[in-house]
Amino acid sequence: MTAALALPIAAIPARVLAAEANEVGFTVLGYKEKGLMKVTEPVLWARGTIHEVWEVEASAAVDIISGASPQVVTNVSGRPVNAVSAASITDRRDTADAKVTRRFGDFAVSASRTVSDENDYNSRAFGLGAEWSLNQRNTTLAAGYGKSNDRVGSRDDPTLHERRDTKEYLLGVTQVLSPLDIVQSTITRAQGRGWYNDPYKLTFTFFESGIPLLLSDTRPDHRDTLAWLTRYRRHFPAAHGSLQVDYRYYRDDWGIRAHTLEAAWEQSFGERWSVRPALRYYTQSAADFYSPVSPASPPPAILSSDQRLGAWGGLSPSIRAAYRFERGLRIEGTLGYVHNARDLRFGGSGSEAFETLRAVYGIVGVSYPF
Amino acid sequence: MKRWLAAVLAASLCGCTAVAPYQRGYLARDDMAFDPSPGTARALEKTYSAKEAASGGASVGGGGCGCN
Amino acid sequence: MGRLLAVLAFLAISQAAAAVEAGGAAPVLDMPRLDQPAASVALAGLRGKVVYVDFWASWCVPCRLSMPALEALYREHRDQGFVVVGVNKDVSADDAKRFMGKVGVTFPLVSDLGDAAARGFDVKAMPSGYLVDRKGIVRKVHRGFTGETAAELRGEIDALMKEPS
Repeated sequence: MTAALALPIAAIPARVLAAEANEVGFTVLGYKEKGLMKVTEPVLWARGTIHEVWEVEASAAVDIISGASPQVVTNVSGRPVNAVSAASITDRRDTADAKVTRRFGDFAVSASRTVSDENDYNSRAFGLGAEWSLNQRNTTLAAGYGKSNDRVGSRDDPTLHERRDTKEYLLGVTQVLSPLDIVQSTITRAQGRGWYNDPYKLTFTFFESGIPLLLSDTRPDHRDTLAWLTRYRRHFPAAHGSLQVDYRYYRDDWGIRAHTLEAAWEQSFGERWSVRPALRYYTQSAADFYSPVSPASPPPAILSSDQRLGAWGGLSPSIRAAYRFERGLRIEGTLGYVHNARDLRFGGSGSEAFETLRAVYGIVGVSYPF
Repeated sequence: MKRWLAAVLAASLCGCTAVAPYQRGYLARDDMAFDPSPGTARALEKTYSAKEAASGGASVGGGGCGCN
Repeated sequence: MGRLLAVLAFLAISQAAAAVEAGGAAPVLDMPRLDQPAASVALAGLRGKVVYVDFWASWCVPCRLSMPALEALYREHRDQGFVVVGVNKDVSADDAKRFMGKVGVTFPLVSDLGDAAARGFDVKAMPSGYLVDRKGIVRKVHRGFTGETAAELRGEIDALMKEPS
């Protein structure tokens, strides 16, 4: 399943004003699912301004994934369940990206490049962006175009060489509402063509009578998506804190509709400390071709039992604390818990075969502006 | 889509609520940024998007991953 | 279409009003000092000197970069009758003082909490610097601050120092 890896450095301004001209940082993520997968990811990143009009940002990350992953959905026991792969796999993904921006007064253009490699997947992407600030920089319009070329393989099947190409389009606006609040809204459309099947997933269906059916995960050869993200920030000077609310609406032509809502409060203590509790809620409907069991006859051309395409909902509370030293060095730590379940789906009717996912994650980061 | 564009243009043409450049102090705060630090933003994005069908929204050109 | 043109015309006119540009008399400036709010600095009291009124804030990156350059110019020319007045736009004097603890300057600093000075000078960018001659006339406005600004200012100050008061 493809998950478009958004650059951590957004195509539209992440900050109204850069706090410092240059900054470098190192972050480590540790993620652990109950009974399943474990991920460790160190990330190194840097950004800087050269001669006042050029901005450069770059990052490099390594993902080390180990543990088990649901491989077969089978109803041999009567109802469909995930059967996890017997052997524990270890995978490694290397990613690097860079972005260059040139400012011309109220106008800016940027170009970016991302490369990502793992032993069964390679991705090469580039992005182009433009920004235009109007109205004494109260309003910023942004437009972006991106293209990725991915190559899919399989560690189980060395003869598998497929490709997937995606074009993305972005339009966004950032609007200062008052000295205390700001809103940003962005629409992204993506059109993908190529191989979307998950080469490791199978559906093994038993029937009342007749032979059981073993189907490989088969998905459409195209995917058109729309994501609409709106973010709002408001500062409360008397309380020394800020409210952060993000909402994203997603839909695609696989039949999936999803909503993501995150609300957070960042509380400052003096000039150095901040603590940010947050709660994220996610809900999605199932893909048209999602089914944990196959109909007996005829076997469908397109079917996937991957529960990431099912209907379910998730709640993820998290807490982040940050400390900024006198000279500017900043240390930040985040702890989060992920709970995805069928009965958390908005409206209630999640997919029967969805097995609850529980995971914890911790992120520790250090950054230094100079 | 057209209505959204019209609303955006209307909001941008409204000079009456312009916040002056010298009144941007609060907006420059760390907690008023749209993204946390780049390293944390990247880690969070991957954590959730590898398990969810929805993706994207903030940027383009990020490439894909074989998230299994 | 007609309504769109009317809105654009209105915007153009409203932007042009009250702009402080070279050639006009400097607006009134009388603000409390950052370190001693009881005392104040007034432009009227500096008549006869060349004054650079600089609007800055601790949250503005180019402002921070401009401080050492302005301090150098101040030290070089203060005996000949040149002064920089730094008008601070932080909402809290503490933020400004903390910043000054790291980037010390010796020229006078004032705070403009009610935005009266910023509005009077019609500040359109941060930082904004207004070079006022010995007779109280604004001779140059610098919006933003780059390496070139420092070089230009040096030449402009040299020229204005030679003019009689």
